[in-house]
Amino acid sequence: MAKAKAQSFSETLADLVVGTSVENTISSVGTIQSFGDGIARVAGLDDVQAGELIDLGENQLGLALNLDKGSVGMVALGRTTKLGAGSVVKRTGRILSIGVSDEVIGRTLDALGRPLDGKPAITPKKMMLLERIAPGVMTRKSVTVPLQTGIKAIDAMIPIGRGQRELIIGDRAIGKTAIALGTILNQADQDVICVYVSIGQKASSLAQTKQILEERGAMGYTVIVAATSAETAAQQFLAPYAGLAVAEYFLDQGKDVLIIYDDLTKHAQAYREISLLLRRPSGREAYPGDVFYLHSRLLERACRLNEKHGGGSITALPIIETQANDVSAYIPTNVISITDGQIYLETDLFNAGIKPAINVGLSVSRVGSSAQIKAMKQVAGTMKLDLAQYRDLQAFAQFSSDLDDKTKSQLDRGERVSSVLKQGWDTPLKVEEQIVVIFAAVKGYLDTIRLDAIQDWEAAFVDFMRTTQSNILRSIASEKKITDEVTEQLVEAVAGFNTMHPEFQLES
Amino acid sequence: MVVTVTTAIELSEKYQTQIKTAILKKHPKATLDFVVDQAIIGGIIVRFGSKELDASLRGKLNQISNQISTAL
Repeated sequence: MAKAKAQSFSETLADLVVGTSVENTISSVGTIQSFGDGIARVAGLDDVQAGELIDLGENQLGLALNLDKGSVGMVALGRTTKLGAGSVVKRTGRILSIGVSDEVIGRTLDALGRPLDGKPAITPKKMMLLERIAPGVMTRKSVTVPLQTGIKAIDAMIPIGRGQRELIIGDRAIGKTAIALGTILNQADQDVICVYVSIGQKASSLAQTKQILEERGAMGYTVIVAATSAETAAQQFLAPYAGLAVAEYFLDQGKDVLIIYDDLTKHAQAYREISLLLRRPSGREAYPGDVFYLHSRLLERACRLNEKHGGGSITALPIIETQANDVSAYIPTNVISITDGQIYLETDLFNAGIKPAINVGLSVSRVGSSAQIKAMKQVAGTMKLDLAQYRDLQAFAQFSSDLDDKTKSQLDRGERVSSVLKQGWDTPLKVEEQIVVIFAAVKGYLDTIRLDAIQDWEAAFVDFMRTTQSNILRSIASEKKITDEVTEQLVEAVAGFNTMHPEFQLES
Repeated sequence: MVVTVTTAIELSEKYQTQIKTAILKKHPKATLDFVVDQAIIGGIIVRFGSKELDASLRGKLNQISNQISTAL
């Protein structure tokens, strides 16, 4: 029996060998002159193209970045152990690209498209270039469709549209990734494919993120592209472009994609590392001269295309980590000037218990209300003004007994509206639910509620609306505006709810 | 330009002259360098500038093993 198996095995092997075809190859080769820190100087490779993949042997690849007169500066992608001076390397003829197919959804990949989740490799349907020219002016359409993040503060006052680039900026451990993840979780029924690019993060954080997304069923529409801090600087440098290549595969099919770069500060640092090792001249803060172009070419490819080109969109949420709230540092100012607005998270607000710690005054969305449904515009229009007035008066809050009634009522209203904007990061609200809550807040139905009971009030109210008043929610969701009839029903519902729950009321 | 000819065994005078004439026809200014490297198992590798013609046995065996592993 074993002999028969061995026989058929060697027959199969013989068939396979006979089926191969070998030929004498002419390839373009080079010899490594020096190799260290992942960078190699290669002599030869006369006709290599910029950004071309180089075969280093042992299934390892390198990237030709510096084309100098006598040599080529090459970055090794991945850990290469057998390279040294004198080693021979070959051109592959392939410009840096990643193989993508529809089965990439739910997978975790590295910057070269290789799987990190232990499942089999992706069979590529299309090779997407990592470096691509951004869509031109005539192929684009203006941003009008909202991307609902599920976070009240953002969807009401700093609305994001599909095709926009909105920066999330703040210090460490302040909730930047939490906002990004909350947005992904809210896309469950929005027909948006999400790409989460993790650059230079801890592997444990990435594992936690992946687990959260799996538990909440978000991996059914999400792709993770990761280059953790243990990966080489070259991989961390390429990861955002690889994620974008995956996003563009779906964009070309006319789909809406959300891509999150977590975070671009570490990306700039990885690029600085490579540039310094390649002996490129350094500038401010030792960053190379083209660090702006590094991010601008990445973010320009996030766009909304017109019908003729598929009608798809890529919305980008880059994350930047500041040091000590300094938004005037080099990289933050660069990325702020590229994106269409920023969500500014502040440590003081976080420590004061306001989570998400969004500074509504300094945050901006340059797309603004074009990306909001009419219903949201109807309720949130005055909210920003109320909050601005509240902030101005906040200094007098400590003298609350000595103020006139009008100021006092403005302070009370502002406090309650601010309180209503607090939200757990993993409890996204549908836009119609947000609208009814904000409606109650700005129309004064919270003025009689205890300040410390507002979170409980909101939870109970949303539950009440979902179970007994779902027709109101449905109407808002389908009409996308609050009709006069629905306004009456809503007023009745909120007043009725307040009467039903005296436990939230202020002691009179 | 230096043209490096690598073979697994030492070539006889006859073969060396044959190769020299063939190469000088295409690249008259070339200087030849004959190297013996047993690692290529058999056949010949000719390197002229940054182009390499790989007609070695090692190269062919590598091609076969690559093609089989992708077929599987």
